[in-house]
Amino acid sequence: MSDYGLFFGSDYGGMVIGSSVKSMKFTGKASRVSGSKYYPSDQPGVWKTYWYDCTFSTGSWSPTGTRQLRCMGVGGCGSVYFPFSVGDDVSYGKYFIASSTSPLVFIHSSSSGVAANVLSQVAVTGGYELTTVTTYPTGTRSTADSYITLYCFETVNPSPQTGFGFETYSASGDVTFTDAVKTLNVRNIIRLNSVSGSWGNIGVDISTMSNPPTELHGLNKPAVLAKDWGRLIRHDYSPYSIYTDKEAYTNDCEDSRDYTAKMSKRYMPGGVTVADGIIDVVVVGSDILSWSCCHPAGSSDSVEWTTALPASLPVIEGASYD
Amino acid sequence: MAYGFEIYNSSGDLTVSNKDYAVMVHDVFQVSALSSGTKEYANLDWVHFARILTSQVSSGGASLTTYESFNSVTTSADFSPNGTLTVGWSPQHQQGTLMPVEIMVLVN
Repeated sequence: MSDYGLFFGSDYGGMVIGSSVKSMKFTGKASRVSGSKYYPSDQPGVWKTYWYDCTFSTGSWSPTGTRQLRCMGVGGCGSVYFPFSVGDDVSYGKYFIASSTSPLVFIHSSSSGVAANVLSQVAVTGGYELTTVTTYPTGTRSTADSYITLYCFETVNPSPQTGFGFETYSASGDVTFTDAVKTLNVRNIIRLNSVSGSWGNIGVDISTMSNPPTELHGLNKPAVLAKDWGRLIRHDYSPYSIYTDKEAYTNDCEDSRDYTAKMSKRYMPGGVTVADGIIDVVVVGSDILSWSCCHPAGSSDSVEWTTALPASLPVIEGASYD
Repeated sequence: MAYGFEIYNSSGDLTVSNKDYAVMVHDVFQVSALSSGTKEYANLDWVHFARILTSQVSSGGASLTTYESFNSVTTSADFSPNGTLTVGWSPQHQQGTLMPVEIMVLVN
């Protein structure tokens, strides 16, 4: 540590209590905001019209849960319809936690088929509102949220406690640890590493700490850090050419060009579950059709990561905070 | 106990000991999803574990349907031999409404 201060070390390395950094305290369990549920599969389908000059127009249509693409060049260079369905296996919702600082959120799922993650957060009066994504087996939407618990932590209060006890202070006089609150105790760390993927396969390798404080199978209610997910993790472009236009219309679809529709998959981690010590990364996969302007027919882009890996996800024993 | 330390609260419950493993916050700040930069932290030669956490921060008026907005930055964490941690970030993904990204520096 630096030239001065207090340092209480862990048997597993690193610091347990320190005067220079703020400990995290248990804030509480986030509560569901009434009426906040949203199902993508209930939304109207989306159509996009592709014009010869590579611009789009967009609208919605029925039935719900489907999408459609059309190619409509000036003078009618042709059209194609390709609807597909959004599965009834994802919902979005909002949770509220009364926290004075940006919360760390750990999610426990009591069902191996249900997982959740925090997509984004916003500071509101009295705390933070968390937008979550929940994935569940098709047909179980009405019960999925009952399996999810959000354990939230924030930094300890900067003001000294009254009475007695044990506290540490930073050089600026802020409290960095106090025994008056229940502090964050990490039981293991899950590591996600990138491995080669393919169409439909995101490619993630999972490991845990080599020197774990607690084996994961020994936890009653393992809860995994569920922040750092408001982003896509992988974006695949299929090699499939759905539609190629090479009509001989003047001023239409530029008949010197091929227009190739590409299907892409955008994957987002729907959460990490731990059951009986077995770790699963639950992934939400969205099929998105897009037209590639002047994209050579038959070619494809390579699979690419849009998220930096490896990532490390601390795990806590949720039962310690019930 | 044979060695180490234990701290109990006023109720007699064990609060923390050397058998625990903690994660603590060293810094929290927000950046634009379109920005690049670095930030240095000195005197961290004791750090055993560093984790840079990012989270999209929605504006107050964001609705649930803004799930189609994904803003993220790529982060890096490099330690120098003298114990200086350099956290870097650069644009990674911006889709939909532009929103800030919070960067949280966790250490142990």
